[in-house]
Amino acid sequence: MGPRNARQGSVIKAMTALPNADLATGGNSAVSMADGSAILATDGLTKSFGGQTAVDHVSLEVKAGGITGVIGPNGAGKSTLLGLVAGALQPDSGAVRFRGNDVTGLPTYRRARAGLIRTFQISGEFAKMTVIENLLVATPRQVGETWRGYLLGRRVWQRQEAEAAERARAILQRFSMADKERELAGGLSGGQKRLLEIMRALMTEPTMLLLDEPMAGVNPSLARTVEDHLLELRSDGITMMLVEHELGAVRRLCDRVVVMARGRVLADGTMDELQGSHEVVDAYLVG
Amino acid sequence: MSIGAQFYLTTILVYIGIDIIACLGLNLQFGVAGIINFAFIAFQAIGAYTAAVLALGPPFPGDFQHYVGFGPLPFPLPILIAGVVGGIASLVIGVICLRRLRSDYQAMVFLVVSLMATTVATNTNLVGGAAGLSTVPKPLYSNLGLTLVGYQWFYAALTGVFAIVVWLAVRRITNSPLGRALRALRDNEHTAQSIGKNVQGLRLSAFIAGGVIAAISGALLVLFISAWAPPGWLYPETFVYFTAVIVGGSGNNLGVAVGAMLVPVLFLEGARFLPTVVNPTFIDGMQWVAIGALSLAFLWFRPVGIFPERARGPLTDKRGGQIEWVRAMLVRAR
Repeated sequence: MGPRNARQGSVIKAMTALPNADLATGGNSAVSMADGSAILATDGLTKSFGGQTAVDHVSLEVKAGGITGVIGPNGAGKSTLLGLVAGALQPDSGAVRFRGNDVTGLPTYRRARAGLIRTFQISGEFAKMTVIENLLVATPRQVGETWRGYLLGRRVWQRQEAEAAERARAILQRFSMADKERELAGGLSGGQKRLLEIMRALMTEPTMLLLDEPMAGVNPSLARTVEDHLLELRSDGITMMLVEHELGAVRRLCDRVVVMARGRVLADGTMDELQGSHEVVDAYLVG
Repeated sequence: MSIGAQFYLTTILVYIGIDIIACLGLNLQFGVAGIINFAFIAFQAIGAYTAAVLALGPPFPGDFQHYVGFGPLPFPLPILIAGVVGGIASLVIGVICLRRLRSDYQAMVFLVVSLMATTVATNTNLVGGAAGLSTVPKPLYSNLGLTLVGYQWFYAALTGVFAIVVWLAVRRITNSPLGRALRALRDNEHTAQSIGKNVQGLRLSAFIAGGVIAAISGALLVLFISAWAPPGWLYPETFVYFTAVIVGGSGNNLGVAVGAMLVPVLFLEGARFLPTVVNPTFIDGMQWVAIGALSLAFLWFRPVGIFPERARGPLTDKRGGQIEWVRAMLVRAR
């Protein structure tokens, strides 16, 4: 009873209390998103585990295009926030809006179908499937995955599959993984698995990526490769939200950085602005 | 061939067909979709009871048999309706058991479902209680006018036809984007969700499809052996099928078909020819030990089974069929 009521309450709040920028540019239409209004908004998002409040009334807006970094010390609630936005966790109260729609109650797969795709801190590859299958399976709206496709057979999904194969191979090429096409994903190195996460996310034709430490456990040179790929995706127009520990990478990648500590947003701005803030430096940047 | 040998051979052939059908169903659930359905045998039993009830006619005076009603329906209705009932039962049990539980907990719940099913069937008179149902008429037996052995051959062929149809139906799933999505959620449920797969829905469909197949195998079995009772479908029977799937090659249809020939048929049937040692029930008891040891040995030394799951590319790519694949395996082995 609690969460549902709280959510409805906050939707109303979201409609009444979040007017300025959004309504001024014409609300939530796709056009306004393209010229930089919020593609993702959280409103008073709160989540507790036991007595511990992991995320405490976080209200954020992410504009379309660009990379937003989320940093903060261990236990600041970064991954929980990502989980709430992606739909892996349900908030105790608060709301998530994506492309103008309230997605708070929607399961992960429905958010993913709307274009909000997350990657995992620990690689989540399909280990007993080949690399190219890992990509193909991510193709959105596959007719061959439905029972209609099953009954009507190959001829209704053949073309889509051929197109998907072409796209998957192009992505493999782009990430210099073409020679791994037929290898089982479980046998890839840690770094290659990170790349696979990003490639698979790309296959879904995402609007926005939620990246949970995409460079975690990757050697420095491959980490730079991952960074380059992310910057390329940025110029392709994909919005990203990035949880990352390594501040050098955050500086290089992020247009805007949100600092979290103890479940709250401590500061919000460019990396340069933040480093001028004593509060942030005290809380995190120095230790 | 002597009549006795023909009789024996056809019986084995029927068992092979039925076990292949059952293993294909379990493979769809376990090998492809990763559902650890420890209640598999209960779905086979549901099919068997349904077919038996529908095939039995009205009681006659002085008969010991328990009649539920509805029958007798002509062939092949009891088998087909058994499939439908198996699907409905899978839907109900799947909706309850597959949601919100991690797969290892699901396995435990299924084991409990299996025990509950046996307890209920034994202790109520719903389907004959502990005595079960017997004198189930053989389909088309009186119409065909065959000799006893002739009918045996007919039934072996009938089972073969069903096995081929089930094989094609399952292969159509495994060789399609649907099968790929099922394997994805088997390998990593959370990632599958994060790329937009309706994990609950997909898993439930695989569970239902497997349940239908299990029920059909049970229906074919009961119409052949003419009787069905709780001791024939105790929960350890499920592990025979699991062993067959693991030994043959979980996720590979050809592999599990081979596993079905090796484990339930060759392994259990072969024990019949062993000399009696210690006491008459010793070998029987040791079979369960051997089944357990066999599955453990494979999980330990060759978890992919005899025929591992194939490494696939795009489904539109030209690729060798099963036969070319076997040939390639043999060449590599040499």
